Amino acid sequence: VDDVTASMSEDSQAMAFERCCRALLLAYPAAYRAERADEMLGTLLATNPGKAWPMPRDICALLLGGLRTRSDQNRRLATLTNLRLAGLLGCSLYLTTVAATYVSQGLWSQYPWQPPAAVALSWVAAVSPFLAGRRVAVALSALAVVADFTCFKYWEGDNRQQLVATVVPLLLLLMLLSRGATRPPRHWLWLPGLVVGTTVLAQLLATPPTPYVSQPVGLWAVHTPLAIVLIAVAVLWTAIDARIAVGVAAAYFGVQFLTTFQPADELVARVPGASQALLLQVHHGVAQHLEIIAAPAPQTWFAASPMDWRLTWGFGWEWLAPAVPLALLALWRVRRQAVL
Amino acid sequence: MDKPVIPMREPTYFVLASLLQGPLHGYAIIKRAEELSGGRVRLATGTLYTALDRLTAEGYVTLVSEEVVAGRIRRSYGLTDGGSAALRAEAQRMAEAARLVTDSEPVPRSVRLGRKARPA
Repeated sequence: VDDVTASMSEDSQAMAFERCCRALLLAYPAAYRAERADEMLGTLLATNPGKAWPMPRDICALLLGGLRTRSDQNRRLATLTNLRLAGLLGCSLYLTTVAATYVSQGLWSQYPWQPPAAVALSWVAAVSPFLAGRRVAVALSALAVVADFTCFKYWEGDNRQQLVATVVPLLLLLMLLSRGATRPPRHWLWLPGLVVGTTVLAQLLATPPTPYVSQPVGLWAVHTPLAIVLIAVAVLWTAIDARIAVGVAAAYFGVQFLTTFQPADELVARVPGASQALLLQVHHGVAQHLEIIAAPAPQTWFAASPMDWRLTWGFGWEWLAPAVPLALLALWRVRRQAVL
Repeated sequence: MDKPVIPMREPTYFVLASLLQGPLHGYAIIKRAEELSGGRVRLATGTLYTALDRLTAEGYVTLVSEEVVAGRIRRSYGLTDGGSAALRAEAQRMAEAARLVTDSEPVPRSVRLGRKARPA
């Protein structure tokens, strides 16, 4: 009777162990689980005989392994390839930010040389490396450059900096596309999606400050708890895949340069009915999520206050000082990813 | 042209080394790597399979056989020619680095630290 009881107890323990492992294996993508879960479970049972729970190091390795597999980190790519993919992500995020700002702030009435179709084409070109083949992506990027130049010339626009701010990332996109065939993972598309989503949210929540509230309200009100969660996710994600941090940082640098060309006063003058505080808030909506995603990468913790300051006074480059060592750190992480 | 030498972490090195004598399944690789490294490399299951994915994508390791044991699939992995060459290249690199130290004559402390010996 004792033997039967002991055997039943062992069986129930093994079942509990298997249930726990299967829950941990959910960290892996479904297709990967279908292929490997049974094999991994067999190995886990063999390495943890008679245990009800896997060892902590097994739990950590399964969670990290699952997330690495989800971010395509279970295959080795050379450092240059990783940087190229990060650059493609950066271009995509930057051009998405430009397009989202253009739509949300009604900039088509301010920049007639850049009709919505040209902006839309730039954006489609920016997300095409994720979805289409290299030839299609190259053709779309080239078309977007031609469209921007043609429209600029036709409308005799006077803001050459705006043209540069759109065309340079498109040319960079073309250059990166010509450097290799490895396509960035499709699941990165949630990042441009987040840019669009946050911009819409910022626009919806944007309310001018009242005489009783000196700070702009809206996105700020929900920002702190959201920021804590996102920063935690960003820190974990950078440990897994630093390419995203590098890409986001590149896009953020681009947005910073763009706003340097566009001091706050000039923006206020150009956007009818906009108060500086309202504009500041919308700008935060667009740029701040980039800081949050890029948490351990450049500029995140340091850039926020200089950015406020620059938007108020119209200049400021000091954010570069803390950004450089942090950028080097992110690049070092990408280099580590290339080690077998 | 020679394939460039890829930097290799210690766990990867011992996973490849464990397959030198023939194909092994996951659990056997973990045990063999631990044994070969004198207990230093204790691979967790998640780490092992991430390493196997990378090594398979790199063409260093290949799936050799599949069998069903106690209702579960068990796969055995073997070392490819490329994997064997990469392992030997890494071993040679480490041996050359080790020889720098092991082949050098012991140097007096005063020379190592750049201090002049005091006159007796």
